[in-house]
Amino acid sequence: MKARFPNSHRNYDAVRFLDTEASRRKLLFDSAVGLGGIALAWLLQKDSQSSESSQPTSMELEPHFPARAKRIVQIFCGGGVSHIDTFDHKLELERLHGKSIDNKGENIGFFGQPGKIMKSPFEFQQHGQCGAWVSELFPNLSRCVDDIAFIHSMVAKSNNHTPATFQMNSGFTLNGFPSMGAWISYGLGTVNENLPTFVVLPDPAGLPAGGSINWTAGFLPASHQGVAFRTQSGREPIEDLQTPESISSASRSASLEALQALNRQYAERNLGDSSLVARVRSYELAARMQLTVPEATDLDEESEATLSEYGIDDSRSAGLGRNCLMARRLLERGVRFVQLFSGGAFGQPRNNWDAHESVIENHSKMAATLDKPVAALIQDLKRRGMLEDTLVVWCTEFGRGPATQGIDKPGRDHHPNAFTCFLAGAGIKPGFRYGASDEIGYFAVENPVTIHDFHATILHLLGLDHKRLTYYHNGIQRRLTDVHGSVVTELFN
Amino acid sequence: MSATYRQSSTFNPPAFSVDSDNTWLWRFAPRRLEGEIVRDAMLAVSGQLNPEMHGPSFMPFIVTKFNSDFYEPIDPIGAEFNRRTIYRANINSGKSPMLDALDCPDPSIKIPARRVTTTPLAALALMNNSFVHRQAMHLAKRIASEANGNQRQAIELAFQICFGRSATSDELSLSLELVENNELTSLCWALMNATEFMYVN
Repeated sequence: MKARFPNSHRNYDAVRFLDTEASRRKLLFDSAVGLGGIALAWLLQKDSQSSESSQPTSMELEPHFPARAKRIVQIFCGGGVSHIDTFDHKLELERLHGKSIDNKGENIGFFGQPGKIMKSPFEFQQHGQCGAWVSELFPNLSRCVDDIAFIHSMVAKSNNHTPATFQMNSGFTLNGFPSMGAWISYGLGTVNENLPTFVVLPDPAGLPAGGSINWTAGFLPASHQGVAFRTQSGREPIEDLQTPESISSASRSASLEALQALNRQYAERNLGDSSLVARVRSYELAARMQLTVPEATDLDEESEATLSEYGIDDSRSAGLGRNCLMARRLLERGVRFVQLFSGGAFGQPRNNWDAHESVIENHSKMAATLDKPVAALIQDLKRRGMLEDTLVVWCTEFGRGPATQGIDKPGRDHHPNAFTCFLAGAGIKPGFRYGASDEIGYFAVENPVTIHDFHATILHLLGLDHKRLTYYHNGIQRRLTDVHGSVVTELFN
Repeated sequence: MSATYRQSSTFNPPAFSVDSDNTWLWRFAPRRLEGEIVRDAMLAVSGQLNPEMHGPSFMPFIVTKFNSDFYEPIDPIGAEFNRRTIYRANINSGKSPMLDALDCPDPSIKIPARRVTTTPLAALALMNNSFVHRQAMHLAKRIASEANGNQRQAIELAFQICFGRSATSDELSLSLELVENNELTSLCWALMNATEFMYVN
């Protein structure tokens, strides 16, 4: 907070805003709420329809340059999706099926027991106007290819899940660095204070490797941390959202009114510190959030057709389907960044995309959870005109290798040297493919895209310069992209 | 100790007009207690603080195993969990939503100084967290018994305990009105949520 540490480094704090607006910006970061009239009256109105209480307020920050994307939804597939069995079609694998891998150097898998080359067990076909190859795993998603730009030359740093997952989410393989969502919240602020800026929707099957570290604010102010909704049905989405049942609403209103009176008087007695005023306002916003969050996450008002399109009527896809539909509702209501996870924790039985034992078994099962929901999300955003300024990011921590894992086994090991991710929507060239892996999907040979490049590109679409979005921490102006990253402008239309 | 160090937090309009951020230290900047200390203070006023020092940490979470350990933070009841928060086992992947909202940093990183944020999520945690409610109930019981059931005395006691000062006449009437129709707990809840409870001047 301002002047909390007057003799330390505060002049370096958030150097991005060392301009004349510095003080206002810092106030917004630290308070997440602004100054202004403190109306308590509405708190006592139990009517959720009251226009005053439902009117969202904005604490938006100016981007560095005009943004193509206003909001972003990211689908992260934990475990490592095999590029050569999904979107990166390699005819050569059929010819080399059963042969050894030659001339590719040291094995880069995690378990170090590569068998022979294995062709994909899935049929590939070309789809859409753009003719993108997609395997039979995604009958619905394959109909969206004309809206998608595939990047076939992704490269990750680690062949180990947790560091690779951290890298995709924070730019660093070590934990403790702010996640991309936290950086975006820090850079752009919020358009609807009644909802969190950065919402995380974990797979109902469980948390990804590293759990909440993947959406931490790291050293950024805590207000930028991702708010993980509890996506198992029947639980309130945010812990401590609702007044405990033992307390009547009349009693809560009365005590809240008394509390606000005490807090207002305290702020009046201790002038000159905006955080005291911000505290009064934070309780107003909290009371509003108690109304807006259940409304935003309630899928009851969605039509049967919509539920079915998202695959919510199918037990396999119901979990991610609900999350994708919830994501659309949150984006519509001004949430800046929704991050969805496909796949839970590691181990047996396989609960994510980590197809060590059998690609056909594992990826068939996982694709059935994802295909309809993600396709429906893209189509739905498009129908609503939201795809024009909403960026859809589909990613995973690494791909899977062209050889089997072990002799005569149908599984594949981790493979960080080439894999596929895709972008769609705001500012992205539709029906486009960028970069390429070699003939067996082993190395990214054409226009390799590092995770840093990927992040720099995403920030750019949101109007943020990855080199200017910095935060001073322990002697270093930290960035999401460390000291790396180039914007892949070829992806922009 | 220097004069600067010993300053009060009293507001000074001329100083504020030239240095609103208090960069040149014209006063002691009011500061919010750290998240751990807010929790400790709640235990202290409710009479539930367990002063035991040293020894193994208390573990306010449940662990489930699925090839790896998963930590779910919970709000366990019992004296062993009412020790100062510094004795809590702080797990990277199983942090407490209430302490998080009060800016307790991620245990995996080192920070030179804490930021203080004021957010609706922190307000929600302080409003609805079961720990806060339990401590408010304990405080209500404590003051009711110490005041022998005298409502007015109980209120005065609550202000003394939570704020270290007497209630003003305004506050007294506001509080009397509140507890007339609601339980004493609702006043205790309000005092524990109050800015004055968690700020130092």
